Amino acid sequence: MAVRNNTEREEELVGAGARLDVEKFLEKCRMNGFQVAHVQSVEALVSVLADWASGWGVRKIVLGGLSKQLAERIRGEFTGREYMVLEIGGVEMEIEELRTGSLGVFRANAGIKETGGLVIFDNWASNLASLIPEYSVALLEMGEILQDYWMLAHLIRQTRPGGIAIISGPSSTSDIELTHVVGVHGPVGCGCIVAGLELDE
Amino acid sequence: MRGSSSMSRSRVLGALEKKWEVETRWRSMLAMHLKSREGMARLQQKYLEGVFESRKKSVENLERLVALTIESVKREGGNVYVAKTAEDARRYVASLAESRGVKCVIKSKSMTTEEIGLNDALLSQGVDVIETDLGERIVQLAGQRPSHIIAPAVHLSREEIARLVKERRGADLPPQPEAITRFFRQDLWADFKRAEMGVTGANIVVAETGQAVLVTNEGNGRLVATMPRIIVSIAGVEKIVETWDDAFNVLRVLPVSAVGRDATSYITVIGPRGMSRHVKVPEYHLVLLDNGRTGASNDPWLKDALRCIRCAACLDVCPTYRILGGHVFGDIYSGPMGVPWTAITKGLKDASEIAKYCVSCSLCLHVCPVRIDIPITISWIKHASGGKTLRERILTMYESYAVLGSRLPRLFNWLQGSRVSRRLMEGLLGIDRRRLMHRFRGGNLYEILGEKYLRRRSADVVYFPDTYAAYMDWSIGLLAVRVLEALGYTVAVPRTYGSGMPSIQYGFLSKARKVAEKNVEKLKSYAENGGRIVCSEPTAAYCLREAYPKILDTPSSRRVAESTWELTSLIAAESKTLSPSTRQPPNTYVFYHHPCHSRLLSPGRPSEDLLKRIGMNVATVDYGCCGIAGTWGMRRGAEGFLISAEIGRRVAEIILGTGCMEIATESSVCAQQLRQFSGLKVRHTIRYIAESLGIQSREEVVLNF
Ligand code: SF4
Ligand code: SF4
Repeated sequence: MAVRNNTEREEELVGAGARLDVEKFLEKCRMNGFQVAHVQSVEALVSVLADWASGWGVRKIVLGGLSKQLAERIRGEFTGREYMVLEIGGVEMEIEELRTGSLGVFRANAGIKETGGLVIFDNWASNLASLIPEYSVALLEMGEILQDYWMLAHLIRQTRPGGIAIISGPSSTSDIELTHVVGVHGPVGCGCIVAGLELDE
Repeated sequence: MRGSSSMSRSRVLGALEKKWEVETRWRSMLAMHLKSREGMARLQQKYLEGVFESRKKSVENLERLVALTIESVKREGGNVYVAKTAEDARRYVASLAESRGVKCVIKSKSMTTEEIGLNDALLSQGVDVIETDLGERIVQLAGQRPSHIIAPAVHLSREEIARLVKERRGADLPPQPEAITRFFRQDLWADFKRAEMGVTGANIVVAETGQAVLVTNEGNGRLVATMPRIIVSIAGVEKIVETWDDAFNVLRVLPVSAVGRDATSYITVIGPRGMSRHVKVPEYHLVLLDNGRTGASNDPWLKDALRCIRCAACLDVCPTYRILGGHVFGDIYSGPMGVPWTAITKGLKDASEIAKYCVSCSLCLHVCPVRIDIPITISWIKHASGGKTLRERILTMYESYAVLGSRLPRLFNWLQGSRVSRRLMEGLLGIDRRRLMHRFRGGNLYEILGEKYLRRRSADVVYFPDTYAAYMDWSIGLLAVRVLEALGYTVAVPRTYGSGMPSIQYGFLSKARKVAEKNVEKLKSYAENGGRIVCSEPTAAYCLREAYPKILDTPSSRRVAESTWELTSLIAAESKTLSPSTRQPPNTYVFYHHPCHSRLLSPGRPSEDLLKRIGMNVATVDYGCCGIAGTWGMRRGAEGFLISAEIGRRVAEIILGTGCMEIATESSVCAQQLRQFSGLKVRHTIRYIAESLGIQSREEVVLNF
């Protein structure tokens, strides 16, 4: 995969203002309970994923909605480190396989700066990878961060997705005596990696 | 009538006996309220305008939006059914389940399915129905209904829940929220996998694309919309918004008002095309429920309630809900919003059964992000449903009682202090013998001030004293006038009537209208000449500014409303001359109690600011209502006093915890409550201002407050 992973190129593409936006977006995500990282290369991306996976104690990586090349690259890195890597889509797979001891890695279509949310449009595999495993990590390009919900409304009108998920934190509840507990039905922990490079190239 | 009132008495007593539940609910609601207020304080005004406009547009265009939604869902390949009644909706879903051979239905949290009684209908035809929201699942296992619209199991303790899991699911768990949550994660996963049909509610339906939007934190809504092969979304027709911009107007405000957060963990959008263009949702149904909503949209008293976005902020702030909970103060929909919603979906009679728990504090209106005037709607429901008691009628004569007391102060003060007469008053008038009553000073404000003030035809300020300052203790009225004059205003005090709040509170709207008409008639010419109408009693200002225009709906009542001010707000806004006073005793540490009606009318804290400006050391805590609510807190036992005392004790504990020496407030009845339960001296804020101006000294006798 041709990854042009340098800061200059990023600045050229989106300008310094966007860099600030990324930080604000990530700050908001952090407040919502995400682990966050801003990377400039696939190597760095994989290294962050590996760190988080080891911190969370998972040995299974579930990929959903990633480009073929990126999926290959991640698979390569992790297989060498004795992880099991599964890819959603194509082959029929037992949903149970995705559930325990796993980290879902999915491609988000957009991020919302104002509220710290990640958006999935119409992608069954991304949806599952973000929902079923015990942990999940969203991958997002820097230029995909939108200011607010109304920019998202504009995007929805343009692209007409059939299904949308906006994720703004780990699955949680306060239903028992208002005690905050994470990991009710969806992921116990989640992360967001913003990449200053083109992920699907 | 007697049967129903003794039934509600025993329900109240039953609720009060569950002490753990009362305590937990009070603390939980207070915590949720504070989070919500913190979030709302950060929220930009434009978002509040946005959500209001979007919801208003929905209510005004119900039929058009239903038609647009039908078109969109069909265009996308889905099925849509408009159910006129709850029964129609129930039947549609039940027969769908039957015809598709469904054995198990999983549900995400939905008040609308509670409204139509869907679970019972499905269970009766042998379908397993599993609630998947944790709180809903817990109350389902307990065989109860939710007691709060967003925290359904808030009334149950962790020990009770652990016991329930053991009894109903056979698992022996430690009573820890984490362990219980982990158990349900596993237990319900099996149901997600086996269910053929998923039923969701919807926070919003977007007409332009025909999609339903779910707002959740747990992720069960996403699983319900992802796992089964048949998906049914059930939504009231009022939930439809026209565009995605409208939808985001709601989504931006809803979580902030509900829990003080900018976003919940998940927003899930479902529709005929599901989450993928390639792996389609095999079968999608949208059921749009009317069940009284279209009728309500044409009813001037009920239509505003259709704007509700179900944030529950009104439940969290409501003083009686905090004590009684949704199983007493509620039907399917609970707490403040539950009253108009019961009227819409089940009719006035059912609504009137729960309307009696509203004490007209107006805090629900204050916190409602879409400005639904629930208190006045509830007054109308009480009025229109009939069934008011003789004692309530007697309480509307409170002003006559005060006028008599002002003429015979010794007798009335003796009667109020004697145990025998208090027993008699309790039996005949329904006034609880344990309630501390204000003493009468004797005479009235109009006599004390004299003709000059009565006859003045135009003035900068018209003082409206209401019952307390006119007849029970005119010293407050006198100080108000003196302070205003010292600050350079000319003041008129025409003879007016009491505000009529007891009539509004108990639903005697015809009587309230008569009083309102008379007061507006007296005040309108001053307002037309640019005079400000000023009240030292927050409830009086509330009547003039909020209630009268709604019950009279005339240009004069609106003119009077626009000119009405609370006394301390006017001073805070206009007086530049007040400054730290050397007259205050050093280190006087006061607690400022913000009366409910004042919160609504004077946002910010003008009185607190004033007290600080004159050099006082001021503490305050936003606990909400002190629990007296006019004459309601004087009512006998379970009809008022016992609930009022539960609140009063808790509020007093908070106040005493600040270490303050006395309490400042503007409401005469709040003063009654705070004095009784804290044991501290309570003084009207105007007394501190007067002192700082050298008009009154601390040594002067303060009768009540
Ligand atoms: S006015 Fe007060 S008592 Fe009545 S419903 Fe609203 S918050 Fe509750
Ligand atoms: S009435 Fe207002 S405060 Fe209450 S739930 Fe509805 S929108 Fe929220």
